[in-house]
Amino acid sequence: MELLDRYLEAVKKQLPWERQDDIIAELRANLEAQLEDRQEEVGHTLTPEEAKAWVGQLPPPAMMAGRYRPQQYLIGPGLFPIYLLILRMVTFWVFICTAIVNGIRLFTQPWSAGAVPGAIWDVAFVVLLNAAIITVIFAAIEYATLHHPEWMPQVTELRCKWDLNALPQIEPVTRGKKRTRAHTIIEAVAHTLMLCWLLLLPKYPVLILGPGAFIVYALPYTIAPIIMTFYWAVVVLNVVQLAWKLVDLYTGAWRGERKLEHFAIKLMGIIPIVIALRAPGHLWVVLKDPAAEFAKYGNQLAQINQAIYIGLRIVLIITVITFALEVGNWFLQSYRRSLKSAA
Amino acid sequence: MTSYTVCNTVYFIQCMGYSMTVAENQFENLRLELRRGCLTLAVLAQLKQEHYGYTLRKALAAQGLEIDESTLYPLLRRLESQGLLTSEWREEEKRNKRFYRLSADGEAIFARLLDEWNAINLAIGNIL
Repeated sequence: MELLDRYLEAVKKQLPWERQDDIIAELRANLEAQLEDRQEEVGHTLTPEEAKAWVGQLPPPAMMAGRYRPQQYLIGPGLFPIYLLILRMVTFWVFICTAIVNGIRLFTQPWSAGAVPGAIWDVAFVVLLNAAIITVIFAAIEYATLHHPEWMPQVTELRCKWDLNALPQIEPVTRGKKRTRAHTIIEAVAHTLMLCWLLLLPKYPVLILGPGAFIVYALPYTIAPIIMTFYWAVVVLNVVQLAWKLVDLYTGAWRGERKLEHFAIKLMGIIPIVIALRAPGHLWVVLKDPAAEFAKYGNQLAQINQAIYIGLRIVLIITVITFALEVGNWFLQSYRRSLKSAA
Repeated sequence: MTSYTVCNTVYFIQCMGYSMTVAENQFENLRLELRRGCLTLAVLAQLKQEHYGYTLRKALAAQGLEIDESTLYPLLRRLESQGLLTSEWREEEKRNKRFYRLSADGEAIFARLLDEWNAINLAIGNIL
């Protein structure tokens, strides 16, 4: 029957080439016997419509062929948890590093319309490339250990061995309300709204200054370009924070202590302050028309910039000290916990 | 459970009808999981006598266990590659057919699986 031949041909095309003929010969024998039974049932050779209906009730060729293939996966259950751990760790740090590098490049290079999309693309490309490389490496290890376990006995051993001492410590139960998924979702939504508000500020300063914005328009002062660099650094920091929150939501990491996230964000928070402090000539506010107004407002301008400079230095010192104290405290607590568990 | 199995199960379920509800999908997944081991046991039991693919399928169906072609025929190959079945090509009714039967290793494994089946059956009976 031509339809059966075509069905078998479709199955054959999707079978491993070295076993194609053998499998198809067996399948043909089985299906032809089945067809004969069907013809005996109806009492005549199947009409084209009946043949269509009969072949149509067979499993789809792709499914039939697929079942003959060995079970396939790139990374098996033995290696998968290690793969996932390394993938998460590496992509996380690669993301942070490339985001910082691209952020700095964004602020140090001349501004252009394509700079921000370009930077985002660079970060995404590097992260994806790293993830792909890690996946390929683990797939190769999986293949090698599956087909030649003697090549990497350590990896084969790693699949079955585990260390009692490596079990995680039980965190002491913290007082107060338990963190919920809803809480994290609300945080992410609030953060998104805040980011929108931040992005609208350059066009609508009234959103931060209120009616005072109209008074500022009337003043002889305006902000120096470094303020915009500082502003974009704050935007990038908020984007990173929001992305982190979304990743936490996706992976379920919001349940954890999130100390690493806390420290990384605090550390990154220092960058905009440093950028602002490095303002050329320590000028954050300038005159709209220096030639005409310097004589009148020059002294006042110098006082304003001096106040901003002192303020920024104080903020930087406080931020660095609190950060150092928090990290030190965390290390001390971890050390005490490890001493307790060792005892 | 491998991604391969999951993909095949999902594909199979998709082929069964696009209008399946989530609950039906869930039931179908669990049913397939439940059947998988039982089918192997049934095939091993039936192959104490020699059969080729189609007659084996008919014999199982006659006893109330319907198995579709894409499950049974590849399963025979897999069991053979694991050394539980032996096979030979032979002509019957003017057609070359591949006949399978339980190997010596297969008989030993089948006996152990049967004990396991009986123990599970008893336990489930007690629980229910």
